[in-house]
Amino acid sequence: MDTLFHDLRIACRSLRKAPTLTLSVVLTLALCVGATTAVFSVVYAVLFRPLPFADPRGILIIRENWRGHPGSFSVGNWADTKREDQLLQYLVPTSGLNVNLAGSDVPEKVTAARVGADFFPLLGVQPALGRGFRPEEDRPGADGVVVLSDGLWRRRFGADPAIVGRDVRVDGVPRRVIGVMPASLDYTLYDEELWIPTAFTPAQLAEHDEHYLFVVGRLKPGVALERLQPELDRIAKDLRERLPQVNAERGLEAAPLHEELVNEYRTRLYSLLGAVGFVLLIACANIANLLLARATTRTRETAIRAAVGAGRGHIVRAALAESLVLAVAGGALGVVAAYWGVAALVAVGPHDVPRLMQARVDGPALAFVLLLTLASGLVFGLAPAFRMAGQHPLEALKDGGRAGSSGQRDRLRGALVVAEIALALVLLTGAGLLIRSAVALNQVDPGFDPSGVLVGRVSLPANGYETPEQSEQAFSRIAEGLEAMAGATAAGLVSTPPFEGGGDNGLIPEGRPLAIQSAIPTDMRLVTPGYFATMGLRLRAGRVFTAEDRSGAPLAMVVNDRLAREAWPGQDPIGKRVACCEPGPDGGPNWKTVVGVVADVRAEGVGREPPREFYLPMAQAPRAAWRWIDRTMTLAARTSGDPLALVSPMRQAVWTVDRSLAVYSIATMNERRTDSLAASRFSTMLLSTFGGLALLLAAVGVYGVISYGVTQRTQEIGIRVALGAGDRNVVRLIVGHAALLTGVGLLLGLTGALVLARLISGLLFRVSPTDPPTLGAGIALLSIVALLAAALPALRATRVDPAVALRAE
Amino acid sequence: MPLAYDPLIRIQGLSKIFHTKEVETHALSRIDLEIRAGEYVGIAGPSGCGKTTLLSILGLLDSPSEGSYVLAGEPVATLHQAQRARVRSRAIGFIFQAFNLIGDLTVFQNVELPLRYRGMPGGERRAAVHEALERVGLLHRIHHYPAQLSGGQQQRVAVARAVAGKPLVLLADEPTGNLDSQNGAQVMDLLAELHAGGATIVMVTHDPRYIAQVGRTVYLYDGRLVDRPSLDREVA
Repeated sequence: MDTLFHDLRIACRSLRKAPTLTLSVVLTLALCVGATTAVFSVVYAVLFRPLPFADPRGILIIRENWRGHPGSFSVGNWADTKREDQLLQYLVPTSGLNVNLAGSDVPEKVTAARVGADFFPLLGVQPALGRGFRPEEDRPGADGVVVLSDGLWRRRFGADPAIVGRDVRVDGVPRRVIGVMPASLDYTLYDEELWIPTAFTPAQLAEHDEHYLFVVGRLKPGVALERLQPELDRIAKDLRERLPQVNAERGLEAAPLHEELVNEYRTRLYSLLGAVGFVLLIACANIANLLLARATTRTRETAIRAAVGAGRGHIVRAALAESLVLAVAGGALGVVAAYWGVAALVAVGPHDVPRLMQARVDGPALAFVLLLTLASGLVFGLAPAFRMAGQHPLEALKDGGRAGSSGQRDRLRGALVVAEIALALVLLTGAGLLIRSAVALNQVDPGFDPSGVLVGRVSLPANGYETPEQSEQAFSRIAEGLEAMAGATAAGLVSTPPFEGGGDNGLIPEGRPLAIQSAIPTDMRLVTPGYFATMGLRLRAGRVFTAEDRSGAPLAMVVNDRLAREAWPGQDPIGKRVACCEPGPDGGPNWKTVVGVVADVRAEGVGREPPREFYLPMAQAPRAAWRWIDRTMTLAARTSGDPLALVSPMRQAVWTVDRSLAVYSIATMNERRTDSLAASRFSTMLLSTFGGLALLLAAVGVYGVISYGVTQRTQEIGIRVALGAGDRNVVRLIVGHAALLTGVGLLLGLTGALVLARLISGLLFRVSPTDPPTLGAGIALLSIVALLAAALPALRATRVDPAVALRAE
Repeated sequence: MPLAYDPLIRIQGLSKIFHTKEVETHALSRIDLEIRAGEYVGIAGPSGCGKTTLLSILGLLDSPSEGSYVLAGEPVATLHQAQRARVRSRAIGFIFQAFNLIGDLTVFQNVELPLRYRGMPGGERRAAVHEALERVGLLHRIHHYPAQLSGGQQQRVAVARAVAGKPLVLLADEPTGNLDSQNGAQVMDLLAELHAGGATIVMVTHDPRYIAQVGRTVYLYDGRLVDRPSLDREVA
């Protein structure tokens, strides 16, 4: 231990004498360790930090699937599955909804969840105050209870411990607060802030064709996950046989909840972690190069140490002590940089990344820094340490002997630069591919015109709007109010606006067997007539809805291009009839007639293919549809001016109908479009930053090695000049060396870039992973930068005095 | 450049002054010297007398502070760097004390180097390299690296490199300084052989055994040309 402290003391003293080198190394390391730790903190929070539940790995999502596409459960299928299953301890239904919450003051729109009584026991989370649901409260008529989240309790009720036992009004209905959950449960399925029981009615429990439940489960203790799928297959087979008209081609499947939540972000985050790791490796290579150069300049000092009795172990230990001091200093500053980095990543990261907001530099991150620091110290310290220990003391004491004429190039330093170039090309290619994807995404026509459009959402409470007629009338009046707004050139309502997906609903074109096997999976939207003009949807054929498409009139439908193409290939879809959504009065199909075709809309996001869509007039909405959409519609209004100027008039239009209704999720459609590209923008921005950093570090690396090489080869250059080499010959010699290193690095990097491109192919949009212009640009950019970095030392080499050839004696 | 001139080298009033921050050092003062084609001239004198500086200027590695230098009828004292490099590659062959072979290059590549800088076509280059190496008896080592050769062999390769381009003058700076007496003698025999073949040689040496072998010796003391008796008086 005493020896270690001695070595560290000497190392500190020695590094103090080389302040420029010390500062360069520590700052480079701090920047790279900070960036790596910041990205690690985000990756850890999103992918690895256990969910705040008991045995979180045991929580499963159980889904129905139809023709292999995963979907939601119907209440009837959930009830049958729960009854039949032998392996699950819990199988709990949930669904999200928006409610108006009123206590002692003004109502507030709050995201809520209906959950089965076993929800909290399934999660293994105890309430911080009060209790959870009792089984008898999960029944119609006995469900007047509510459990609050910690966040809502603090924000809305001032953390009043006496809240338990008090009544609050949820959608106008009084409910007794029975418990408050702990803060750890603020990470939830729907971002919900309160929970109410599902309390399914007998009619709901008998319904097998309305699929909207998100079901979570937990295996019984000791049951392996592998046993579950055969059990689910058995139950699904039984469901298909008992109810073929609604369950044909349906199956059941299970997946760990955590996997399901983060799956979409896994590749993206791993790519970023890999990228920043590459930057750190490049920085380590640069630092190793600096220390190797330092080792060479200290040849004589090392030889003297060896001559007075220092063994290889002593010399290696002393050199590693310097690396350790540098690494620890860089790591310590890196922690500070990581704090800033995490704050920046959270600020600019897409808001829909699960648990991004919880990213912080905590215990695991600090352990990561420690590991990274020690590993970096070893990576950049070992080679110089062994280089120093490997010197022959006698040769070294001869003060270089004929170093100039031997002209031995430093292959290790060259190899480090090759590695830097290779890693930098991999990063630049990745960044280039994402940039091209981002450009392509920005150029995509979403199928409508988002500029000048404001949207906001309104949910009608169950109390006062129990019947479909009440909901339809309220929203019709709101639509009239919107259309009358000053400054609005068009206004309309839609059940789900673009970029938010759509309500899954199969339809069967007339002429096909009326069985579920004939159904075409589609997205349904309820709209008012003004919606098409408001969003600027292009009419391809026929007409859009008018006020004549009212209740009692012939049932009309507008389809999009894709659905028209696939349902009636080569035919005119106008006038075709379609069965969907609800049975007719006689129990047979309730035929709707296609009256128009509109252009495809990229409804699930700019980067995704347009789905098959159909639009129904809100006035002719199937009765069950109001339940499917939870009595929620999105209001849209177009203006030729600033769309945000319509916020207040939009609220007024709603309050004219019902003063208690809140307009929430207000945004312009351009903001929605920008949000839908947030994940792509985030990855592109970070990978571009890392690519730029890698380019800079690689340039510094090439400059360092070539510059050092010129110093080391001064006498050789002098000899060449003495033998007749001109400036051009000297420049060619030096730049040629850089070109060789760069060429080998590019060759290796090309292989790595192709491998990386395959790994991130899922993040690309309209760009091939082997996109020649991107690869070519990366190679060209690195070549130019490397050659420019070599040019300066090359010019210095032309000023070498040839008389050094005679001074060797 | 014309092939025959008399004298081949003429320097008049040549001085070289080195300036450091506050010190002015007169390395050479008012040197007048003529060397005819085919001469074998020795430059001798004690350490620090300016021998190497004179050789640097003769070899166009350095330029004089004052005076004129005419090589093969062409004034070369004020040539710029690129012109000097061109003249060096065509008219001057160097033999250094420390051999100064390039360790990364083979024997063939080392000998070929000045011919390559001169822009000689590949076929001619190969022939000239083979001829030069045959002359020094090292053709069988053509693909070896300098580190694989003895000191004497390395210096013979350096001689081959110097003569391969058939320069007007060979400049040798203590060519035996890093060799034992046996290898030193072999190299001196080689130089004598080259001189007998018509080569003009200027050799810096302070070894009295080798001074006796040259045709004429000029002596330097404190940067000035002196005669032998004067030198003996100064160093006595």
